[in-house]
Amino acid sequence: MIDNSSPRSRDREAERQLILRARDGEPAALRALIDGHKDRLYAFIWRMVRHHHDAEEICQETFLKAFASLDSFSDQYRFSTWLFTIGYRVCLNSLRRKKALTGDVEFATLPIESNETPTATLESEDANRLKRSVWSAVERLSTPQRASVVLFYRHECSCHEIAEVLELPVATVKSHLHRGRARLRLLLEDAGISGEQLVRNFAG
Amino acid sequence: MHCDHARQLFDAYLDGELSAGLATELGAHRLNCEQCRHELALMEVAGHIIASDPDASAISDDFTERLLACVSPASTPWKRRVGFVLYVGVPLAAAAVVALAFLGGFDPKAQRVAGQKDIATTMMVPENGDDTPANRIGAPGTDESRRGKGAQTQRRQRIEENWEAMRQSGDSLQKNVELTILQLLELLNGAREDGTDSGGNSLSPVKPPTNPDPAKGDDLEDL
Ligand SMILES: [Zn+2]
Repeated sequence: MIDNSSPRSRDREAERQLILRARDGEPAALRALIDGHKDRLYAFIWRMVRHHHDAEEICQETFLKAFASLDSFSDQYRFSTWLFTIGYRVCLNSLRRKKALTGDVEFATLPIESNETPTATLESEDANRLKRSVWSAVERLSTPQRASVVLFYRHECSCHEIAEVLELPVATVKSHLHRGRARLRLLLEDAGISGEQLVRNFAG
Repeated sequence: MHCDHARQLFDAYLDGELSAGLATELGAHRLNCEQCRHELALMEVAGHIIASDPDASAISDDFTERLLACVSPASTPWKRRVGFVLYVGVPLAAAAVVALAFLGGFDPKAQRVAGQKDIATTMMVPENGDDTPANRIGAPGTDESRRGKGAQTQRRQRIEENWEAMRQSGDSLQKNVELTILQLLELLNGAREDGTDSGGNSLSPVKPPTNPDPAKGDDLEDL
């Protein structure tokens, strides 16, 4: 998932070698693993917690946990999938701790940012408003819905890969993804954004 | 195809899992049905934005350096360090607590209720009437007893300080565990030499190396 550059088998072999070296504590290998995955991991975690400092702390904890248990890494997984699985678990714990402290953690309690109607021509101001509305709606999804939607669209994960990351059955992941979509549609319509306007504006 | 049927296929279509035949049928329905066209357009645009809108936040430039500083402090491979702390340090720390209880009347219940600053006191000063081996070093009231008690107390205090430092500092975790263990072994030897057991070094499998910290070195001399 997530990373699809050169031929798959060569990729996998290079990754396997890198992990073997990292297991021996070779600093260059550890650095390569961090540099190769930190941006995507952060992008995912930041979408989950929407807080720069928290997201970096979660990423750091994720890497430390991953490095401490490299021995248990099975190369039937992609390293990135395995890392995201750890990251999501750390993320859930962090959200739970916050919830215990503050009483609310779901972004559903936040007011949606934009409920203005896009105008006839989609100039950048309207496009920006549309984007803001979409992200506001994403933030109001439940945690597993948000994770499923972000992993599916943004990280191009299959439902099987999302199931590995979320440690849930594939059927449950599909349910989260589909309910997430339905909720997004309702939230966008509540924000005054309709498919009719989009078709008119985009298709002219 | 009716709208009801078409809508049932939306998710499979958006998941990219619709068969070619059904996808064609849905496409044909979409051309003719304004309602379905609009609904699918909304979801496709939302999906496109989620997929491609640039992130508003990026990881810090120094993230890798900060992380590497955590995993591999100078010259110590991270794995050895983490492994040492997890598999050696924790059981040995537990053993240290047991040994301290054995030597000096350390009361875990007292530690739990005492404030942080009281812990050392609790550990250093055996309760009156506490019949532990540490209390039986030398005869009560003799010079030897007082000297022995003073040295034991200092050693226990130093172990406690090291243990505290180890708990609070990630950087010198391994060093402190090692130091604590060495001192604990020395303390056990000292207790045996001062006390009833003349077997002396038999407890210690390793010869304690010269203490690298001169400030802490002198105390070890009298063991
Ligand atoms: Zn229709």
